[in-house]
Amino acid sequence: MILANMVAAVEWQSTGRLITLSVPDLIIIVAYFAMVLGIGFYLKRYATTSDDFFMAGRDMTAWVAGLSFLSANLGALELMGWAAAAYQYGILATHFYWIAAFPSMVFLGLVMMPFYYASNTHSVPGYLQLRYGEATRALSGVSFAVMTVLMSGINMYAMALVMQLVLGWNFHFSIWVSSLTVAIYVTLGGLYSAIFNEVLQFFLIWFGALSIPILGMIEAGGWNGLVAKIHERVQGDYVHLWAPMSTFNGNPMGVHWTGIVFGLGGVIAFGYWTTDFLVVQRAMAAKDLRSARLAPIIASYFKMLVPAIVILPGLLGIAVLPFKLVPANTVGMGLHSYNEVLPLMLARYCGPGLLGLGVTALIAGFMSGMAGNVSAFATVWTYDIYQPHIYKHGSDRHYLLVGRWCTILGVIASIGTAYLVTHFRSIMDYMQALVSFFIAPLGATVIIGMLWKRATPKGGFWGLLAGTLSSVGMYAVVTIHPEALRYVALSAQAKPIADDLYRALWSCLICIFVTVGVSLFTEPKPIAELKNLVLGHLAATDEEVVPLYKRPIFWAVGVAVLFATLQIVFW
Amino acid sequence: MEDNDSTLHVHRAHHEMLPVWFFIGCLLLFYGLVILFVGIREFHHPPAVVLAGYHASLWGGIFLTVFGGGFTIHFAPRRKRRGNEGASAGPKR
Repeated sequence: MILANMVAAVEWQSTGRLITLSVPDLIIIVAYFAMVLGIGFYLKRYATTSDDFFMAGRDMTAWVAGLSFLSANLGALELMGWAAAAYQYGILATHFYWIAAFPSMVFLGLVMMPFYYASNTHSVPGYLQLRYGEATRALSGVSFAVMTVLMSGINMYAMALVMQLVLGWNFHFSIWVSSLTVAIYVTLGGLYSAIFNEVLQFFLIWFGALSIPILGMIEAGGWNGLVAKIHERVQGDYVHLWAPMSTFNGNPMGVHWTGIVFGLGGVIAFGYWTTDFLVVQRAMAAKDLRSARLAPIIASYFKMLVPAIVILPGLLGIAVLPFKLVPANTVGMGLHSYNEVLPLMLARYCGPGLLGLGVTALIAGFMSGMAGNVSAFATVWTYDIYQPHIYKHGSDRHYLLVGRWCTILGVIASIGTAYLVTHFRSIMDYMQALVSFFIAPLGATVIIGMLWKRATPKGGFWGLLAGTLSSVGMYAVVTIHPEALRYVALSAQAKPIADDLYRALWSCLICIFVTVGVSLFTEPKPIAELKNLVLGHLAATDEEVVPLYKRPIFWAVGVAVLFATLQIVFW
Repeated sequence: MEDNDSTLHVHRAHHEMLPVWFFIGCLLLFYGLVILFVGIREFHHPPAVVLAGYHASLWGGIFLTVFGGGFTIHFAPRRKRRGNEGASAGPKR
């Protein structure tokens, strides 16, 4: 949806640009490209085995794995999209950073990571193979591989589109420069390169965007001044998180609190943060179990702070911009769409140099998004499709070579997707929906598998399939008959965003129902085969004994307190 | 969270690797110097932005220079010390 709006804006402003770069800005952008290529060439010497290439040698510290874990999700499209959502929906957009992150990330660290780590698997589909069997891995692996490479292409397309809109750069130039750079540095260093560049991107995004909230709050006159200005300019409650959510039509988002708590925080967030291999791969690359458990918890602290550089600029846009932004499909001469709020705020406060840093942060966000997708694709393709189904007994060197070729093929497929989307733009909306089809049921399948030893291979497979197909079915029905939304979202006042939340909730429940039902009538795996895969059968881990303040539970409690405080302050 | 410096490095049991923090430090130091130069220049050529009087580029440049410089120095690879030959020249721990 965000991309579709971007397309409309670019089509209208195809000859214009929001930002004009100066020499210092270009120096900063060129330095970034030189650095990422340099890192790729430097890391090539360390990616000498398949474990190095696909799992970064399982050598990452908790901090590196944690920041990379977060950055894999902190792409430029998310930054621009959620800043736009904050302009449109107010502080409600923060739910997607707080309740949609903290509980599931902490759950991953405390409960699920020991299973992923102790089972010594290379991927989430790999865990499904151990727990449920080959059919479930194949279903999950093929869908994930296809989705990641296509999402990489959509990221590439989005970057070229944003660069065209914001800077007036040639569309093809952006695609080819970014894809060649990603291809070179991921092919050389594998997951090492992807993780290093994600950590680098984390700093660039923070330092590139931080000037907006600082200067914006000075201009608005602090939080109280910001709230007063927002009330002067718009009707409705844009500054409270929970107070306006007791009804569907009492808030700008048109969502009831049940949708946010159960659909978003419960199903979508758990499905995404605990089973999307793109992010879980970063934690699995940690050097020991304690680091792997700490990684998502460290990430959850920073996730809590991200609204300062994403949501706050959107709110500041409402308060200080001298003109109103409009939906992209109504953009006309001299008007700007919601999606342009972040670049507009950047241009408002940042002169040469800082502007280049902000633009570099966006480029870094897009490129590391592509790199993350391509490296996850190479891992799943090699370990979960090629090795078990095509060539079982290759040498380590052979699989390393396959991984490198997969990376190149992944980038080529991404370029193809990017150009395909330019001709058939509706594809990208379907693709984004397609990704969401798998998240909720996959999360349920993995979590049931970890927590319930009675779940059987057939139960897991049919539950995953039923959950996915039901999600596709609901999407198709609402697309063909929009009035059906009232049944999916349980209210005639529900808006489209509620569709995603409730569809995820229902598909998760269907997955659970089918998994449990089929499991009760089919043969479970012998207990001996469930070692390190199911709760109650986890072998004693070799976690070192450390003081309380170094333990994951200590920091999990800390982030829970931070989360509760923020909810109360902004209630 | 983790209190010793070694946790801020990519741990390498079988080979030494420059930590990611070193690369970040180098890039931010370079950015800091460029933006600091621009910030000083802006005293004579103020940019056409809101709140230009706050000299965001100057302060941003100083911050990035100090932050990047600190990371670069702290995580830079050290030379082998005399009497410690045979030990790898890894990053400062």
